[in-house]
Amino acid sequence: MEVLYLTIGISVIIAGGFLIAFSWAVYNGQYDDRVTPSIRILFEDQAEIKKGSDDNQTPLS
Amino acid sequence: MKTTVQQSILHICSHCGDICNDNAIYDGNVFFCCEGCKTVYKLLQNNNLCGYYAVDGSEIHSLKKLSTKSISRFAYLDDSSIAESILAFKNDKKAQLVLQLPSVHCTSCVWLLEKLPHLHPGILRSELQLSGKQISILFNPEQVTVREIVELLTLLGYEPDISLAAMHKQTKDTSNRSMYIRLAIAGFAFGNTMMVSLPGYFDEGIGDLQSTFTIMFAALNILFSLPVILYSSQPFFKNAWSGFRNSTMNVDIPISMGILAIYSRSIYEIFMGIGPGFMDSFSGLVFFLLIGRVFQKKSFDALEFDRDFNSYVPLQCTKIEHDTEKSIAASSIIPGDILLVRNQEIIPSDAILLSANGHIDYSFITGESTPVEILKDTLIYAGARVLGPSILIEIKKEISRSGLLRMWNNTLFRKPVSSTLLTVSTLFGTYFTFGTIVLAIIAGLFYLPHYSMALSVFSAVLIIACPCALTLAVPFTLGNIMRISAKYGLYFKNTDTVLELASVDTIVFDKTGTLTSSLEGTVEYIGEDFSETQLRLIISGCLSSTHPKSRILASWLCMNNNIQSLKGLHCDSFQEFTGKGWIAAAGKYTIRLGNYEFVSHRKEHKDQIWVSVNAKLLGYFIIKEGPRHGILSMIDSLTKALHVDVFLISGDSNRNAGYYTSAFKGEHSLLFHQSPEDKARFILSKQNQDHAKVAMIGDGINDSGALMQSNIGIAVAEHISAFHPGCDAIMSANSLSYLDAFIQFTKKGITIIKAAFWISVIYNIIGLTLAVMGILTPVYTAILMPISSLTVIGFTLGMSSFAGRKIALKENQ
Repeated sequence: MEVLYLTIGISVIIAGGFLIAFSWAVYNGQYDDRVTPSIRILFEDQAEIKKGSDDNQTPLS
Repeated sequence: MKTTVQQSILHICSHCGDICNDNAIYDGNVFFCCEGCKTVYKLLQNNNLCGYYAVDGSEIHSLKKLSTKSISRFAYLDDSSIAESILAFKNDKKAQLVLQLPSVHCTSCVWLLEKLPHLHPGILRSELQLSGKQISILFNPEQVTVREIVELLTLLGYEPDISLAAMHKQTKDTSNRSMYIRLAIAGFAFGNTMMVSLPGYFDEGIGDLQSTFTIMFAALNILFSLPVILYSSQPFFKNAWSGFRNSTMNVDIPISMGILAIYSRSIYEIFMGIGPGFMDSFSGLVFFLLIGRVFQKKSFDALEFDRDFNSYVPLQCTKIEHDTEKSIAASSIIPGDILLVRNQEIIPSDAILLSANGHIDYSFITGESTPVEILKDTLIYAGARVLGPSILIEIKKEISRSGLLRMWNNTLFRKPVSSTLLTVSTLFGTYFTFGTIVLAIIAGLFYLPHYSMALSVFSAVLIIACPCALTLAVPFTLGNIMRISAKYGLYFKNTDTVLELASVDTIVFDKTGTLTSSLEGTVEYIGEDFSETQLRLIISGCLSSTHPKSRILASWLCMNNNIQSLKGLHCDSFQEFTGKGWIAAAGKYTIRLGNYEFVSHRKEHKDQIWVSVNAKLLGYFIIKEGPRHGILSMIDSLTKALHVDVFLISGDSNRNAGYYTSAFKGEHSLLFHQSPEDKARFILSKQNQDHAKVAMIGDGINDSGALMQSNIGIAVAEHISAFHPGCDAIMSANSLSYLDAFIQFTKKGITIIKAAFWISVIYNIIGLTLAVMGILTPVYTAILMPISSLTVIGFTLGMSSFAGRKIALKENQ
């Protein structure tokens, strides 16, 4: 049962690591804007737009 | 030939596919919802990427086409002191500029604005925050100036909002960050204390290792709970302490008592070796309470509720000194200064006109919707907007002594501090706190002389009576109502205002801009008929014009003559004269449309909008302002179903009173020719004499006194980011016709909160019974507390979302 000392220790360290990572992310401003990044990630690079747009025909109203 | 235009024809934006609102931009034969979409469309077009849209035959425009807009007004940004005052940060190589861009609204805007470094080499990085409508630009001050950046943004169609108030707004709010950290620490502690506490509850299985493990678990529990008590629960202690100091009871006082009771008893039990303590329940309690706080603290970044006079005064003025124009800060003007005020600019302080004549729009100050013509030596009041050609004025008063500011500082316009939630939570806090303490003492006394038993029962009552589930009901219900309402166009300032709306029994409406819209109206045409080509040309001209009346005409003409598209029509030239009309030419036709003087060249004033083709007068249009679509039936339902008294109060004349007499229960509910002070006084008298809870619904600064005086002031805005006075809630103009549904929704919210109170009372009765009987063990609290919290959260969220579906049904009707 002494292995519990080790496993509890490890689990606390791992959980603490995530807590620190989360705090870092918050203070880094990653939670200040939760709308724009979700849009930004969908933009394709310039070169890829050319390729993708030709076979993507949207009719006009 | 008479129809009512209730909605402009629906156009689909050719770029993003959104339905264009009333500000649709018509270009060639395609529509766009905003300048950003148009620009992106053009950009793709320029690069032969238009396979995406499958369009043929459109003209190709460059960004420069837009430069016809006057941008010289940003000259004041060349003044280094003004430019530096709006910089967020600066050194030799890099500077950062943060600007509000009110017109940002869609994905394409993000795409384009983050491509700024491609458009100017001096711009190093640009990052847009869509929810806050804020752009942060990093640039090299040696290569590009602030003015150039602002002009570039304006060219792209995103004119930044540079005013004193917008500048102050940029101080960033970091309280949300610390709230997240508090929540994360409490959650971390909750999970880990639960893990190490659980074996303690069922300690049979551990056997001979028990004692060493117990010590380790106890040590870990104390270690985890320390940051929770020292950091995470600080907001509750702070609120409780400030309530205590001001001798006002609030709901945080019993919460803090509960937190302290559960923590000190756990520490006592652990150190005395009695048991494992309640550390997991303690961190769970703080965790759930914080979730409630975060949920309640929903804010709408892009909206500003607390506007003051700074928002109305321009940041800069153009001063004329020795025949040269000089850009000075508005705060430094003194009486005697001569200023040049251009089209659409605001008069900073009371002044007299030096030019021969000019056109002034007082609608924001008085509510009168027709622009007035003023002659030389007339006094102009601060806050008026100039229309048409630039005028010269001589300042008569300093800004601090102008009529605008005097109106703002009028004591009538100060909001009395009283809120129903405050009183509810105060009452609740008082009764609850005393009730809990009395019950705890009685239960404790019952077990005397067994001191340890008495003490443990006393603390157990305090622990279990901590109004955790109760306090969760309010933020979750009201927070959810705020979110759902925002989806349908009603934005509450905070959760208190939701409660205010639910208890309203009198509603006062402003007319101009609130019940009526500048974009809707009844149109009548009297005169000779047009040929097909003439008609198309008139529509095209109306669409190109920026005047709201042209928009009404365009949509009326399209609907009435069944015209769907203007394909194949090319306007050779178009010229607009603000305050007069426009001239459009194509082929053999030249069309003039505008006021009588402009169209007929005769010195005579007539109210109608006249039209001529090749200098031959054909006829005139009459636009009558009517109420928005659905308003009258909404008012009907307010009085009949919700038994609310409704009044109409307007600074305007009673020329269109006929529309409203039936809905507003006769003439005595309609008040015209009311000054801003009259409006505020009317509401005050309603509150004092009839003890009414008054909601004021208005739009301009002329309503700001009434908005503040009322129990809940709702500002109506055509576009949510548009300019509006200080208020408690902001409503999009299209949603005004479901005001009755919103009020019903908030009333249901109150019922849901009451039901949730009863649920938590049941849990409390179970818990208190255990506590008073002296058998409240850590296992029971560890089970009871999360279950009661989760039930209340689930119930309030589910029920309020269900109630919110009624608004959706109403919207679809």
